[in-house]
Amino acid sequence: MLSKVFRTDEVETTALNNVSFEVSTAEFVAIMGPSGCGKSTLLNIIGLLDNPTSGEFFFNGTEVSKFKEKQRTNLRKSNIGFVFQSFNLIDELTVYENVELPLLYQNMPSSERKKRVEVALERMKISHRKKHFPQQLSGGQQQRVAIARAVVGNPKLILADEPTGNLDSANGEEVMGLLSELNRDGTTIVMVTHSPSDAEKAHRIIQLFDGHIVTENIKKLL
Amino acid sequence: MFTNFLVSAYRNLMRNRTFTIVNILGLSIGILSSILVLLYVTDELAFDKHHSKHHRIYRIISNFHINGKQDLFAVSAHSLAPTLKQEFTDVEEFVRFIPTDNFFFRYNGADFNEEEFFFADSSMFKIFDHEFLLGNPEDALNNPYSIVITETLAKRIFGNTNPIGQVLQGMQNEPFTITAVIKDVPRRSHFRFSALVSTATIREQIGIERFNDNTSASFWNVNTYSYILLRKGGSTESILSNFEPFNEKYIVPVGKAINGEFTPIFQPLKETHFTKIEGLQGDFPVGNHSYLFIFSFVALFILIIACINYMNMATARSTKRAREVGIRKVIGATQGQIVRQFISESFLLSIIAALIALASSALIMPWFNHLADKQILVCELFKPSYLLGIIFITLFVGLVAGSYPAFYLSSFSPVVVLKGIMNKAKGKVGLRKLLVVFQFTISILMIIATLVVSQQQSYIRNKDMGFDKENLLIVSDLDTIIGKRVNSFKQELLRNPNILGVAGSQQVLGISNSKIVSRIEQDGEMKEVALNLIGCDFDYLKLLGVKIDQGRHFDPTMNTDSTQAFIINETFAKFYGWSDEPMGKRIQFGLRLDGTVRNDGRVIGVARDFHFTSIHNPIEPFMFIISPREPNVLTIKIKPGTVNETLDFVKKKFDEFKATRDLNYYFLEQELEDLYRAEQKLGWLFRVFSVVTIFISCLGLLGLSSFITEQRTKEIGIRKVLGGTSVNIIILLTKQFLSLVLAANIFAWPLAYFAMQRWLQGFSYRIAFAQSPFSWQTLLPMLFSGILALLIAFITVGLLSWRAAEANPAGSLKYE
Repeated sequence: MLSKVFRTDEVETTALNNVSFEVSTAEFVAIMGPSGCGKSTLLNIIGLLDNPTSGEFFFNGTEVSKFKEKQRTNLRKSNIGFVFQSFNLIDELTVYENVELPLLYQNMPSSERKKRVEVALERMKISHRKKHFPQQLSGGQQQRVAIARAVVGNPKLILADEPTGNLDSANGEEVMGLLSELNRDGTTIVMVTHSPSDAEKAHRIIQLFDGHIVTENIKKLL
Repeated sequence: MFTNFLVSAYRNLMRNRTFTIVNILGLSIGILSSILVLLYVTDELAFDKHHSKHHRIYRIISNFHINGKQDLFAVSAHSLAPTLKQEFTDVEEFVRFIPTDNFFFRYNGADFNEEEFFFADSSMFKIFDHEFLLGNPEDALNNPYSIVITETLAKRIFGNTNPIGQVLQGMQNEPFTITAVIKDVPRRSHFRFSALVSTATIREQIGIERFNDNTSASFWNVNTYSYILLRKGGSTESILSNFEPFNEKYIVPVGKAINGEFTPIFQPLKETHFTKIEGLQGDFPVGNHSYLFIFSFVALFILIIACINYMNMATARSTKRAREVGIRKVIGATQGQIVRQFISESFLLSIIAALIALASSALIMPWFNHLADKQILVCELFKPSYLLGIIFITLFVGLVAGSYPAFYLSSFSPVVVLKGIMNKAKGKVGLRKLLVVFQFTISILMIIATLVVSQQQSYIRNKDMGFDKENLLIVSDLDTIIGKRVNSFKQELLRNPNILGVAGSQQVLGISNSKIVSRIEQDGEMKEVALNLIGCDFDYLKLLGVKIDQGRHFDPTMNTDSTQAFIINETFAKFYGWSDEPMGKRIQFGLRLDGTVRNDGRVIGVARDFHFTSIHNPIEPFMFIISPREPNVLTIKIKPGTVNETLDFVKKKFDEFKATRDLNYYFLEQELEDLYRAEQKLGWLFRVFSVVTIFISCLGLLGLSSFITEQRTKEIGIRKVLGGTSVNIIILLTKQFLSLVLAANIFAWPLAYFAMQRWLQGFSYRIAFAQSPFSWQTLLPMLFSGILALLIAFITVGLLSWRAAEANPAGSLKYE
């Protein structure tokens, strides 16, 4: 039962109100709901970017809701990959360097890093642009780089926050295809989306409204 | 990881060129200032340390008290050092240097008239280290008429000929033999010479008994620079604590007769250049440790201002980096790693700035040497000690400048920044404003200091010295050059209509004077005092325009004036309690050991006070007396506008007197100017530093306002569309900065008041600044400085704002 309350001097906002659910390994869950319903807040908590105000959160069997920032960072960097709507690549780094970055923060040796980055780039079919900067790529290509970065560390979980929001339908289809493929290979995916067609790719859709879960539809059996 | 930081840092800097250039410029100026001050300070502190025994070498300073009045001299009695060695086991060795004024000699038909010749004992090279090129330090100064010369002098006199054994003919045809050639005295020596003549020469000339005289009277005649070398384990404290028997035996016999006391002060060699002793007479030019503090602080301020620029601009631009910070944190960067990344950026900037500063310091070294009166070589910058210092400064700058932005940026929450909630770094605006206020406080302080120093300089230069110093040509050393024909020479000069007057004296008013123990009438008794005086002829006071307020001038028709008349100054009358009735008071001048006096007479006139030495010193009691001897110095008043031709005339006339050497002359005004060189130098340095601090502060303002203007482009566009004029926009953009500059005055003014008050207290005569906080003399420079700073800030920010205000609003609103 997770709750998250944001407080300022004047206003108190309950972003999540006693939200409770489970995600199993290799499951593909989509979270939907209107703007301001708490989707991103929920994703941030799942992604260990934020702590709940109250309640418990078990990640891989470990209760992490009281973790300090350093503990969350350590857990996050080796277990979770992120894909964002606005790609969030670092403009000063090349494609290769962007994808390599998570492995640097994991203190991986240079030879191992090189191998993994090449594999990830190859998988996302973006190796031929590895020396380019994000500004030189199309939206679809940038998102492929972002996905490559998300998977390069072999995370157990990928969190995608409206991954096709800034893409046209063709590129969006391509990205969703990549995510589905990753899921089939065993990666757990939790995706926030406005798009019903994207949500269709998931095993389960959770509807949020004003910080509550209102419906939960299981689309496919694992 | 570190490579990634550097790559990222480099690319970031290249993407934001304005930011990068402004920062590099500011930091390199800051580091350059620090490098120059580092050179200056280490140079000053390194004086005399090249002597291997420097820690055991002490100069003897004479501390006299006569009738309660103290006099300090850098010279001591000729007999003091050898007697100390004789009586105290702490003293291993001693050496004496006796100045020669100008040393004349002839070689190979050419005449030489050299300064910087000293007589020196043969023990010289046992105490001080000098590199011998030719000759032997063991015996170079053993024999009479031996001379040791420096390399430069050797080249000048002998060219490529081996100087050893060559003979120079003295003024009385004495044969001085070159016994050794040494390398030029290192620049960092408090005492520099071009040649040393053996004191055995003096011994030969006056006899061994007189040379070694250590009767009590000899201890009261000071004319020798004396140094002692302590034995290992010896101490000056031991000498001083056991000084009483020495005092009783050698000093007191004469001291009692003249109501005088003497104690030696042993000054460590390393302090001789650096430490200014108040009231010390006859010293070599010294450094000034208060200037070291001032320059060090100013360099630190400049560096801090440059660092503040970086901090301000980095934090103002933080929203541009916020997203990157958020992404990195999401991907797995800890706060520590983010901090290290941003510190790497500031280190990279700092290193680039340091390299530029190093190159610049090499380029401007000649100018710096001229300004600071130094001769530092460019290659010295690459000495390990300097390089270490520069590395330290670079690291300091990188750390200080980068730490605040690094910690600030690394504290961003990824949730907040990635959501785009973080639009402006509003929370830290207060600190940025504080930093701008701090920068301008220092700048305004520097401007006020520059104005005050310039005013004080001007005041000193233009202050009425109490006598006419314009167009006065001084010719000196005449008694040694043309002997007893000086008065004839004077009469010849007076034939020239361009010469308005000529007067004779033994010394030069304003430059030098004698102090002679005498007796004056006090409370019905005659009491001993040491009096400042000049012996002169009847024309002297009138020529110089010294005003007589009571009594009269010397009168050649009054027979008694030659031997029984004294003219004193106002301070003399006040000091000795004669203000009510000074006329006719008795003075017994020139006390001899047998109790007799040279002149016994009365005061015939009281002169208005005048400065007989540098205006740094307060006016002391002073006296004029008619000298019975031929003058040593002639003061020649030249008609304005005829200086060159009259000088030629004087030289020609001098040659007719078949002088034994060239005319020694100078213009009094120029000589007096040299006394105030220290203030001139300081004034220049303050001006330079002032300009630099303002420039760097403005650089910071430029960077900051450039960024903020860019941020407000949309707002400016909207305002223009709604009817705002360019003037409205300019006021909007500039007022936030101008209010900060205005606020800086609140801090700068009291700081300037106290700092300059403290500095001015070192002058006996000073401007009225900081004598009262509300006087116009205090407020005017402060107001001027504040307004100047405001104006400069307005121009800096205003130009940018004007450009933004003139931009087409369509361009900025297009992307909404």
